[in-house]
Amino acid sequence: MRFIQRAKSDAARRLPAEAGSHTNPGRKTLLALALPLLTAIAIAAQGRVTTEKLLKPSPDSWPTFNGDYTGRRFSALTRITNANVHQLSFAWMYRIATGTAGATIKSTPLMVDGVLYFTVPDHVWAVDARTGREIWHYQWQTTGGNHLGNRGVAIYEDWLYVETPDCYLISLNVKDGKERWRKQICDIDRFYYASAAPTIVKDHLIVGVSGDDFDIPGYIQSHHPESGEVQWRFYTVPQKKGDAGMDSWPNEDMAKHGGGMTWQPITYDPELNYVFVTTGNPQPVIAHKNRPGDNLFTGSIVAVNADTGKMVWHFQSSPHDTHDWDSTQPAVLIDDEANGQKRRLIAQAARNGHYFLLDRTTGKAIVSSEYVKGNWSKGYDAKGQPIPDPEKMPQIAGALVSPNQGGATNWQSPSFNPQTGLFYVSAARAFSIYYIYDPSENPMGWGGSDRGGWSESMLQAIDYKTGKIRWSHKWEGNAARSGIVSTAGNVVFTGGASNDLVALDATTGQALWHSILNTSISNGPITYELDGRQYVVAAAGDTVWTFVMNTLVK
Amino acid sequence: MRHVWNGAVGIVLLTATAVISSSGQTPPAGRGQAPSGPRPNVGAADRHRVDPAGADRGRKTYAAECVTCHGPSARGTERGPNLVRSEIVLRDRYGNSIGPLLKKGHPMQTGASGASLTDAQITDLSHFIWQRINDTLRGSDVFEPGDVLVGDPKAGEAYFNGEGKCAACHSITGDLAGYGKRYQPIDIQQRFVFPNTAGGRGRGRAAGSSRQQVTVTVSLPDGTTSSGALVSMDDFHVALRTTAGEYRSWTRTPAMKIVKTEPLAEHVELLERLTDKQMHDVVAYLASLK
Repeated sequence: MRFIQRAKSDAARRLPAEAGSHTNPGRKTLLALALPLLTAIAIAAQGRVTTEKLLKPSPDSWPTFNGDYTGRRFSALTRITNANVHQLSFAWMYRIATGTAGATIKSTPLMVDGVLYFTVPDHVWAVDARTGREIWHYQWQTTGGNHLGNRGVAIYEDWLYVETPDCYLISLNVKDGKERWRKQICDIDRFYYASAAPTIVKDHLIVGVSGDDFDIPGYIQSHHPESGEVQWRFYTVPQKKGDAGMDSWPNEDMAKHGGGMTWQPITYDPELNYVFVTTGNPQPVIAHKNRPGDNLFTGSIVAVNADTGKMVWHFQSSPHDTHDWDSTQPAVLIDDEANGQKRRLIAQAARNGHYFLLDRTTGKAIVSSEYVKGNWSKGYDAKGQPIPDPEKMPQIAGALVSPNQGGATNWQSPSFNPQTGLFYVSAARAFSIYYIYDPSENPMGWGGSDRGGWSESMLQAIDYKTGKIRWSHKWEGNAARSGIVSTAGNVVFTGGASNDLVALDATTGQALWHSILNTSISNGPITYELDGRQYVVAAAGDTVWTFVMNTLVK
Repeated sequence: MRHVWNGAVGIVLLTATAVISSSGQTPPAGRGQAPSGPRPNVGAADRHRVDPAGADRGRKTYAAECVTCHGPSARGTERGPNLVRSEIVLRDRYGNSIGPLLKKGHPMQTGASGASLTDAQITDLSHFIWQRINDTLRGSDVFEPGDVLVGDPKAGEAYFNGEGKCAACHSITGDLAGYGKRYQPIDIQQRFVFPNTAGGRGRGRAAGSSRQQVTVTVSLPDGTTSSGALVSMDDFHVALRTTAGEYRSWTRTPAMKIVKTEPLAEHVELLERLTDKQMHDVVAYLASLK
């Protein structure tokens, strides 16, 4: 283990934010003038993130992976609007130095008390959210594991939590990045790895696991945030006779090795006390002859009691998947009213191209629709789940399938904007040919793959109530694999196809502004307000880029 | 298709519960020369690295002593457990975990005791079993397509000249002359369906040959017009290179007219309506063009 602390980063190049016009008299100006001192105090004294703060995040924070527990990545901030977004200024950039070529920031930064926390595999940084100045950098000495990506940290009280590729959950001090404890959460010898951003739910620290090279079961696990002790584990596939879902597998052995990884953070309904787990593809992945059945609870949204880890309901968005289409896309909480009745809803745009709106108390489908046209399913069953077409499952001689393995969407975080009623998804219409490489009766691991491909990408704005596409913004060329944030200022920020951060009108989809960066946006952008200024932060490859609206509202 | 299993092992195969696996397929050229293993960043950093020569020696011991119970691909039979999913094997490095188990007198198919195996034999067995594990992992180098020539060439010819409208742009005496001699069937299939990726693996990008070049014409409000190969375009800018090699770019305005021409548009449209039968028929037809 090596701990690195650099008072001044030579890797970070910074430009000061424009002075702007401090039109706000009184307290705000004083605050602005006293910034450096206050920042130091803030880090020392304010760094306690309580459950209350996580339940009702303030606009000057982004304290969880999705900004809040709903998963909607919507900000109530209005300083940046569709009318003034073209006035956004460049604030600062921070370039990471890991010693590993190609390290890409896929994490969504958290922002608490003026400090951004973000990751790449084996690394965590704390950076001043106003200036990009590095506060500390933590490096984990790895023993292996898949370094594909890391989605970020969780924060609670004065502690950060992060997963490592070699299956550890570590707790760091927010103040200086010093390690408090480490717990093994999975087994790299069985080809697991850990990449998800943990989530704090009251006194539960909930982690997911990754790894679909080999036939292993997925699970989520809850740890005590203070001690790190395991509280419960929920397997996403049945582990023994009598377990729910066993009848959707041919036998216990296949179920026990059936996959269903949990590599995206959960969402949470504090009133129902359910966490919503979204699960990955079944195993063996492509060659599927030895796992007839729906293969529960892979490719599903599963509601789990946050205190016990017991399943409440499930909805399978991709029954018997054979195309590597994880349904790990976040299940986004939506509250509305219909016919005078309050509705608690949950929505997902799944990798297989289908959008689902469910009752989140029961898991019953209200809407099932395609948000990108595909060719692999034959309508919906009585539960609203797509029915796979056996002819479009992988074949020895090849089957032309849409979407491709990358999916109609993937890990890019969607956004739901309650003002426009639109569910925004970073989407692709893509084709490839799926082949079975292992034609045996008992395939394992992968046993096939897809080849070649054609794709076009777009941002789909789905009417959450009907599942219909309100507008589609097609990108010229393949867009960034970027998440989305939408705001009450009627703006959507996401990555475009020109290595750019793009702002679109949230209502119409019209492109309003962009800034061309070093490479494609590689994470989900976030926004927050500090000292009366609204910031927008996105990462592109090894660099964090920050923009600011300097005009202070009177 | 050449079988990895040969000689004595082939005979055992007939008597054992036959589980034909991906390992039963032709290993691609180059296999067996360098140590193989999972994708570099998968598994523990100290993971077992297979020595192919050791695995070949291990295969002989395996065929003689293990295959009847554990199966030809080490995926288990009714008589013995799956070794590929065995945690003992997954923790094994060069025999350090299976060795002690065998030395305790693990029964073997000739009636000999596992204790009679030498350390070298155990290490080789470990290489062989680890090779079977690696053969299942994503991106395994034994993963190769099987027979894609399942279509009807006559039906393919009819589609080519009729519904598919292929003959509108292509000619079997012109650009496609001897196509079946120039490419393997799998490559014909990929090139025909995805000319943009020229048959590449995975989520490839456009190959960018001149025939596939997207062109664009930009007409400005003042009446001037420029045409050329599209270099880049987004909601805000457009850039092209003229036939004379001149690079030009503009900030897009509503008054500007931009017309893009995609030479592969017909192929893209085909993706929506091409059935798998039509695809395989056309491949069979193109493969027959010798």
